[in-house]
Amino acid sequence: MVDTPAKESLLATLDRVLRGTFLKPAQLTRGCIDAPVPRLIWLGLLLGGLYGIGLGSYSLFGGADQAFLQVLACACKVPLLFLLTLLVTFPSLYVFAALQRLPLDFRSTLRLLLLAILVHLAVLASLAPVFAFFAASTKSYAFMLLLNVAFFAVGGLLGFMVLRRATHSMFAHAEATLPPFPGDQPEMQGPPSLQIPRSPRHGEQARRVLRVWCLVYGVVGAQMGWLLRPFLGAPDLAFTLFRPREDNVFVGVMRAIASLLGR
Amino acid sequence: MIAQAAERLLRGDTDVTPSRRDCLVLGLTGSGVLGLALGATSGEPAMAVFAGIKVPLLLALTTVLCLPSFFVVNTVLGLRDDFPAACRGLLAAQAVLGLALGALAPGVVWMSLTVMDPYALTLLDGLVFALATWAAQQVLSRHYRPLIARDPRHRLALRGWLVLYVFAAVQLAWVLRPFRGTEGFAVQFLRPEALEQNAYLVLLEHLVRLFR
Repeated sequence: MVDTPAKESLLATLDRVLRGTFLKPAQLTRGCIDAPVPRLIWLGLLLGGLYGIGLGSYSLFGGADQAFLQVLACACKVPLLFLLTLLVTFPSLYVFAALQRLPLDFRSTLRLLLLAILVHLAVLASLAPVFAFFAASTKSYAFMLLLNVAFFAVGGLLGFMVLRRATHSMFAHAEATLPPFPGDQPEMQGPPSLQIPRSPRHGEQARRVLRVWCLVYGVVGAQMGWLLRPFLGAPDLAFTLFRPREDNVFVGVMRAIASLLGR
Repeated sequence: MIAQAAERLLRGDTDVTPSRRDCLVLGLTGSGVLGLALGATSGEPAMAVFAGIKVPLLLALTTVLCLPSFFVVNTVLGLRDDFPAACRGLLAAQAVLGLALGALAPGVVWMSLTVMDPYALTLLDGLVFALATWAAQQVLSRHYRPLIARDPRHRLALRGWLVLYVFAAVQLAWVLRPFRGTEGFAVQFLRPEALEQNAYLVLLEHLVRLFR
């Protein structure tokens, strides 16, 4: 049952997402996340679109070819970037999280990730004015590209923090309230069912899996962004929805740094 | 009345911080005075007026640009209930920044009369802003001390604010230049190339040239 007032505005839902209201430890331990998925998706589209407009403003201020189309494409591509990254990485997270006996089922794991992604998008959207200001006052494509990478990294770190906090409170609450895991307490009787293991060793292992998954998510997301480029729209190139596949995001970032250093 | 507010702002503890209106008046007036002093050194009245508008604009616009992300970061870190207190701290710090800039204005005039090298003057202007920022930091720490004691995550939010604020302020100051006016150049509110250069890239260019 989703605990959302019938006439709650999108802003109020966003506020609850940012405050972490949907990730109460007691509910997490039961494997239940009461978050309104359609609203979260709408919010994701809006926030992603907002940051996309901020990104597209670089071509707008630079007078690039078909700048308005570039802004529109960016506003669509930022939410698409998150959606595709989620599609690629979610199945593996679910499998490894289940192996680590995280108490979240398929739907709840998806909701947890949606909440973390929304935090990432909200941070990006809040940085959109700063990005647009730099876009208005900077000609350098390489600088703007690196600024975008930095903003994505900051948002990603805060999104990761939400995931980490959720896993932490899941295990902390479980350690305090649930019976011990049979492997650590041989005298326990009966199957472990879907309870969270009480052993701190298991908690640490699950957190390690989550950290590795976040790293994978970051790499996949970065490369997905590279595949979906252009976001900024290089000032000397004509508008195109997607560029041909070449190199990878890390080569692109290194090239941008080299260009800034004048090499 | 305003003098009393300034006194309370500088000496007092967080519970006697002046009202929002007083903080705004103090900050904008102080930074406006520094702007007037900077612009007046060119000997052009119009330049003094322009700079008198641009310095307060620099402080206000930077705050407006950075506030949305500060709000989001505070909320995500679970510090939302303390957000009004954090904002009071930021406002008090901005007011002290303006006040300190205003207080340093006579020094700026004196420097302009005694230092002839424009590059040295630019460096000294940077020093003036750094000093005023240090003063603002004292008041911000005063406001943040109880918040950090209550929840150490406030330290992270504060550091994030400072990094983004300085990052945006440097570029905005570059966009809004000239503040002093340059001999031989027409008096203008913004330079024609104001929106075409990036402060960090100019700095990087100088550094690369230095090490080559």
